[in-house]
Amino acid sequence: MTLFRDLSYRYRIPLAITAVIVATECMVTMTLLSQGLADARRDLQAGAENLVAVLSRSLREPLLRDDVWQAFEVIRTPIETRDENNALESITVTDNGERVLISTDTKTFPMLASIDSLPESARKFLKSASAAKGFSFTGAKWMGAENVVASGDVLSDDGSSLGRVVIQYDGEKISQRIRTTLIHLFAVTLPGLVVLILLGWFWGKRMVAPLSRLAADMQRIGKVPPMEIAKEVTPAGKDEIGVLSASFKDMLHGLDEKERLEQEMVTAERLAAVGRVSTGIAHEINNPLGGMLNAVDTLATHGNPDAFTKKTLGLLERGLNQIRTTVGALLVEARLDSPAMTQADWQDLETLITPQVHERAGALVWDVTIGQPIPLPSHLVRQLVLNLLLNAVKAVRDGGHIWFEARIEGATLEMAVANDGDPIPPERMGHLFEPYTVTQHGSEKKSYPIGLWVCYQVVKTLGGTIHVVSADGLTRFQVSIPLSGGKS
Amino acid sequence: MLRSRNPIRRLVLRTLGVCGVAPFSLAIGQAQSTLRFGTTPVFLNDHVETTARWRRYLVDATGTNVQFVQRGSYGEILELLMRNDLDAAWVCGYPYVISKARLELLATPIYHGKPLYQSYVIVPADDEATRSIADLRNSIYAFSDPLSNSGYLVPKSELLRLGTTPEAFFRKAFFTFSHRKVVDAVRLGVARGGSVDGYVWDTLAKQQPESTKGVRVAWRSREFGFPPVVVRKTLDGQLTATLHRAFVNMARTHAGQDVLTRLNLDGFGDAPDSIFDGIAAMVRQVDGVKT
Repeated sequence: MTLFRDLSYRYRIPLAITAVIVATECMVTMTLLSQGLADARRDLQAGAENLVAVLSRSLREPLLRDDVWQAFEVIRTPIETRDENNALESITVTDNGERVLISTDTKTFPMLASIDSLPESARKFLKSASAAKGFSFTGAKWMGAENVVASGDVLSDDGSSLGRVVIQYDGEKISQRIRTTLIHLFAVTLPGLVVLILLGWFWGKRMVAPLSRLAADMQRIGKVPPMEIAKEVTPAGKDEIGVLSASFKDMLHGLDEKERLEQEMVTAERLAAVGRVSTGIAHEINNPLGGMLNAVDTLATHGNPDAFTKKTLGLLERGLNQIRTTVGALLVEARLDSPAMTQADWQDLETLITPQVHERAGALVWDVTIGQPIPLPSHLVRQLVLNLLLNAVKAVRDGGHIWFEARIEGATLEMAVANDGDPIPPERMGHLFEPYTVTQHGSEKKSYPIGLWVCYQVVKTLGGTIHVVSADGLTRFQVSIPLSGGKS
Repeated sequence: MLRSRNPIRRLVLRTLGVCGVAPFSLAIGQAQSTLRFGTTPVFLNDHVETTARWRRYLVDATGTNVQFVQRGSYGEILELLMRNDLDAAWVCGYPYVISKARLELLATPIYHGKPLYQSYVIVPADDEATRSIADLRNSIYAFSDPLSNSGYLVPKSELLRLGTTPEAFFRKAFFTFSHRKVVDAVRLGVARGGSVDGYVWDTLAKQQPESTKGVRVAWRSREFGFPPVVVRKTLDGQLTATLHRAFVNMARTHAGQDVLTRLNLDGFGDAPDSIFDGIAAMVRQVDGVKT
């Protein structure tokens, strides 16, 4: 039982179908067989009864006249005209249980021999058959036959018995015929059965195949990314397995979404931490930096430095200013006094990026469908878009394409920057928005400055989202920013 | 009116129908121009092709329409002859001898050069002991026809010579009404012995050897007059002469020779009436015992 329970449906259903086919076939065969045997027996008995009736009638005259030759002529005809398959063996006319009058088997039943003087086997059946009254039929069994004996009276006109006609059938021949019928029946049904079993097996396997695939796919969860499994799950039909497949696919999508969210959360937390650290450091640096710049300025203005000192102070001042610029880049602040984003800003952006694209002999597709000013700080949006566009220009090969689109959807500014350059390598994806990352791509080391990190900071500051999709030869940054600009 | 007439019409039709079933009966008593020739199992008269050719020959040779009439026993043919319902017949010497007063010998078959034949006693081939009918006491015995010389008179005479009768000697004796069926009876084991026409046996053995397989001749009688072709004495002399010519000339024509070959005969000829003296003597012997 356990064995059957553990058996795969791949075998269990074909086995079940086979079992049903075999059982049905057996039942049909048994029914046909028993019907056929019953028919054969009935036919045999009906034939015997008919023959007895015909012979009885034909023998009346010869027996009345004691014309044994005529009687013999009557009984020899069925024997001589039978075909080789006919089980009819002999016809004997007895003298009411006492003597053999005439027989077609003159060796076993010599004419006028007393029945009691016959050999045992011949005497036994002839005695009982010739002593019976009316039509008698014995010897036919269900599956075969012993010597089948039919007998009937030869009656005169007044109904008195003139003798008895006893017909003997060869039981072995009847059994042989039944055996032949059996063999034929099996010969006919067996190929059909084999074909049915093969069909059943094939059909069963086909039925189970989606289930097996589903089971195999389920076992891959945790080993293979969910979306990769989902690609192979193709729900077909609305049957149970189809519904199961569809649900499984949904589950895989959910799983993928969850994994992605988790990943995003981790990234966001990391970026937030990086943001906090960099902002803190920037402020810590900015405070003494301001003092140092003041000090340098004071010294240069009021200290009457000599030429060498002046040169050194200049050097110092430029260095400190560079530090301030660098640190300033790390600080993304929403200056709420910044003017709103107008159509002119969009045009500026296009004007700024076009020469860069041309330098690469590329093509720019500019699609901005925003007419009115939007209430978002223009310097942040400009910084964001320009960074993304520069990033795209850097990514495309010569003659590549860059797409930019911006539109208002409800209360959201939707922007997308895309390019058909090299895709972002997967190992970089996880750290895409981190500043100053260095990744090992093949043999070469690549470092990325803070451009995308700034973008991320801007988007976060404005309360929006940024996603990147790199697939099918297209890298696309999708930015959504609520028009409220994160103020709420 | 109609209703009362219909049953009569139906009766007439039915009668005609019965006649149609039995054409021989209908033929008897018809137009004078038809010569009615009766055959008996003194030869293999169940060979339809032979009788058909023979009839054609006789029609051509006599210029008269000839009809062959066949019956179940010698007795019936003899009776038809006696009633003038037949004009001629090929009968056994025995009925000829006892009805000589009203029959005229027309022609006698020539078999092996002589107008003579024998009676045989046949037994199953596995019975090697039997030499004569005397060895078959208490057996089942098959005769051909009560009016057959070879198939009944000869064995009966033999038994009388032994001082017994068929009824007493045999356990059971029966008639098959045909020599050929006597052979069947012995071959199929119905009878332990039988009496047959030697000519019929020889012809069967020659033409259908399978029908005599398993049967042997145990005894051969002396020779007797061959079953003759006879005509009723009342038949027109001219017609008798024509018919006589047709028979004796058979061997000289192609069609006649063909029939003779099929009959296994040399021909038909004129034999002295004395060839039937042997049969006549036996008839007297048998009648003597009866009275």
